Amino acid sequence: MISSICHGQPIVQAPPDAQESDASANAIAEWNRLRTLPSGEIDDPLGFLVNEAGAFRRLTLMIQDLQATQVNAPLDPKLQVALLRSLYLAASIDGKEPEYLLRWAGEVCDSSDVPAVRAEAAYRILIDDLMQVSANSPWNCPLSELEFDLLDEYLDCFGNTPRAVSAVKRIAEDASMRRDDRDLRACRELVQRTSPQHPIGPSFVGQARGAESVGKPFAPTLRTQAGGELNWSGLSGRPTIVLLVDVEQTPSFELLTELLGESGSGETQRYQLVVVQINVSAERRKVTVVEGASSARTDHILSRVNSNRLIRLTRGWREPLLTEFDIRTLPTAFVLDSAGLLRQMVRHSDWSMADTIRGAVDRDSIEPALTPETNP
Amino acid sequence: MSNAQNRLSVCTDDLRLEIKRALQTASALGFRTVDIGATGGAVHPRQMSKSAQRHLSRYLSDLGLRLGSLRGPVAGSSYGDGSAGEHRLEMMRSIIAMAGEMRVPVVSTSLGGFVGDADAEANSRLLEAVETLANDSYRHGVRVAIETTGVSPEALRGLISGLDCPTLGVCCDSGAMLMEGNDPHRVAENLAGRIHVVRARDATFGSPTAAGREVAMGEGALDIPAFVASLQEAGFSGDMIVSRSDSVRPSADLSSAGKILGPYLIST
Repeated sequence: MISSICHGQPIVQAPPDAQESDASANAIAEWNRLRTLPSGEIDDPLGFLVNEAGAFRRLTLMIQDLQATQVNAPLDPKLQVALLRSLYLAASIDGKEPEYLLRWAGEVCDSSDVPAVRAEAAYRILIDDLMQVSANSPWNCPLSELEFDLLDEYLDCFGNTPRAVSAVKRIAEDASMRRDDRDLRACRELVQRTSPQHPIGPSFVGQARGAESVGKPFAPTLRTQAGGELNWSGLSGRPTIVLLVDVEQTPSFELLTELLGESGSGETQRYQLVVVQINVSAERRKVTVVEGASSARTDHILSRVNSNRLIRLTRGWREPLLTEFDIRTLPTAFVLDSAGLLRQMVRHSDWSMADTIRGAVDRDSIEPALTPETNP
Repeated sequence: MSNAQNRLSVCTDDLRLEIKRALQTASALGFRTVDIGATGGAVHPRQMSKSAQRHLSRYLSDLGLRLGSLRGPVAGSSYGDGSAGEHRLEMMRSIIAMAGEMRVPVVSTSLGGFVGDADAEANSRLLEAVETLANDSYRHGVRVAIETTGVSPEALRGLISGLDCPTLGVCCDSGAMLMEGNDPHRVAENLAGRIHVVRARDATFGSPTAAGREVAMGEGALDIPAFVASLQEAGFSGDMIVSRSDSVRPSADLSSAGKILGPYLIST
């Protein structure tokens, strides 16, 4: 189903106007003031603020006032969107069942003339549905057609915003857990098409590519230090760690040292190690080399790596291997099983990376690689 | 321990206690992660031998605390200010190196003022200093977060994008943004994918010429749900540091702020 979203007509429309009018800003300020006033001080002659639903009606009136004073001006959708978002968060924090909000969201989805507001309502229903799915049948069943339709609606309005990427990310995480390659690929293509320039868009696409690659042969063409192309078939029989490092960087140096020390050799070899040394930035390297023993340290550690399994890349972050998977943190590891299939991609997020890699080496089954990632 | 508890941090300097007592208090208030200022007092890099680092790590562990971030220079001269700027830079570099040794993932600092086109020489020095920080950040594997203080989000985005260093990012200080007339509820528009850590403070709304003032969480212009929603949009998944720099009863205020913010981290 999701594929039909991607292959249908172009879904990118103009995003909502980023510029709020002064009137909208004033209305939002008024809304915030009302929400934070002690109950005895609220000017609420119509009794709208007795609960959140009433508060929403109050805001609806404010919006209507705005429309009355700007008859021909399009309604600023951000006002309603901000309201709806706030109400949902407030309801979840208070531990209230957001049923009335969902009912209202359903009505808005069907009836609102404002695409952005309709889309926000769709997003809320989508998220609620996802939570229901995760609560009732954890990540095992395909999402219904409705969810993808809502996503489509959402992306119609928010094609090039971070919210769109966040929404697709939820779908992709679900697809990844279900190991549904088709949906995962569709999500990745969707983000590539709708949010290619947004800061978190490429990151998502790279993660999705990593997840899509799990369980498939991993054998990019790489030229070794010894001169020939890396012979991937010669690596079968044992798990392999393809470790991308810049050994002038401390976390890379420490991880490589640790893995070299424990990989073993001959019959006792636990895993095979392929090391991809990347010169990330010429300027950056000049600065670090001044520090003293870095170069000697670099040469020493790399001399311990078999030259048939050592690759040096010189184009930094622009290397195709890095751009394909949006690798923006080093070290990063690809863990392959004994048949040469990608078992897991491990990105650096903290200093527990060695344990994660060991876990992937020791694990028998193939697990999905797409997991929520911290800001690099 | 829930993920929300793990992500909610407290600025121990704001407790205005000696470091051990501050850490004990943070633990007693229910925090599981702490942010410690490293420019003065007990955690200054000059004071922190390897042995002292191990001692601090053990002490934190015994209290059930994680050192989520260190805070570098935030007051005084700008990184672009001649010899004072050089001193500030050296201080920050030593803190980044110490963070790498102690496995602390984030170090924050403020630029101390982004001069603008009027003083090209100072700006050039500042840019050079930030590039040095980016280099050190990358080299030590420590994320450096520049605080949204004294600089607009747009200018900060331009500065960071220009350096193309993934470990250099932003510390979103909601209170500072409000006080200076920047809107923290719209951080996703300028800083998405760049926010390493959040310093959560509430304040009254100000402008570049008439600054607002910090107030207790929930009493100012910070719309918490909208702020959290914007962080979520920005792809933020790091620590949120509860901060209150000019309270007369800091423990109570920080505890209260933690209780207000904690549930929002569960929802993201």
